Amino acid sequence: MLTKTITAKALRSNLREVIMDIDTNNTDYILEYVKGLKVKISPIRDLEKKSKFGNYLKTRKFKSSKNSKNYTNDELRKIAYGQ
Amino acid sequence: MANKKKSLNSIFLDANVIVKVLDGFEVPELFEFADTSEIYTSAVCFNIIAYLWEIGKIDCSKDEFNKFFASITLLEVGEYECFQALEISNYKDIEDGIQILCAQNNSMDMLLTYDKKMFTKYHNNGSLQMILCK
Repeated sequence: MLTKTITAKALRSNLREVIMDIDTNNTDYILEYVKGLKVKISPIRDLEKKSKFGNYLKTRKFKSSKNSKNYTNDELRKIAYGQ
Repeated sequence: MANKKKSLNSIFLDANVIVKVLDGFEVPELFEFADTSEIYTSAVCFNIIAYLWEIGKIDCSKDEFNKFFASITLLEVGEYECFQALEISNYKDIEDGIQILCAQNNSMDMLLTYDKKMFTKYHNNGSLQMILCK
């Protein structure tokens, strides 16, 4: 069985869906779902980190994106891999 | 009714959006949410961006490069994202599928991209809100 890595937050919302999906107290079903998961803790919601990103934007001068190139993912891969 | 504290948005940036920011161009769709959001991307995006920067295809200094990545969070990509991406992508543009799954599995609220093909293919996929930057 493929092991799914999932954050604690995602597990909480997925479990809610699993539980709402069944109309009995079928705990085996839930256990089977959880058994295949490796749970990892989400990155801490760090306010300082958020303000760091805000600061990054504030401290750097940006040019207007008008007439600038918007790359597609295919184009980026072609540049990187030279295809 | 008690006031509920509004939580921050989690925004996942596709590689093409990061290239734009590192090149020093405005991305209005991102800047609009910057003060109320935490910003994320995947280790896979970092991989391609680091290489593009290394070969001189991204116009920013080492200092700017470091500052940008210090201000966001990198998300891991593992076995699940890789193998599931084969399925959801139907074996076409598998790397896009990896990004989508990485964002979904980490409960991101939004994914920003400039890639119309990716947007068209995945914007109705699950609860992840996708925004196509102009």
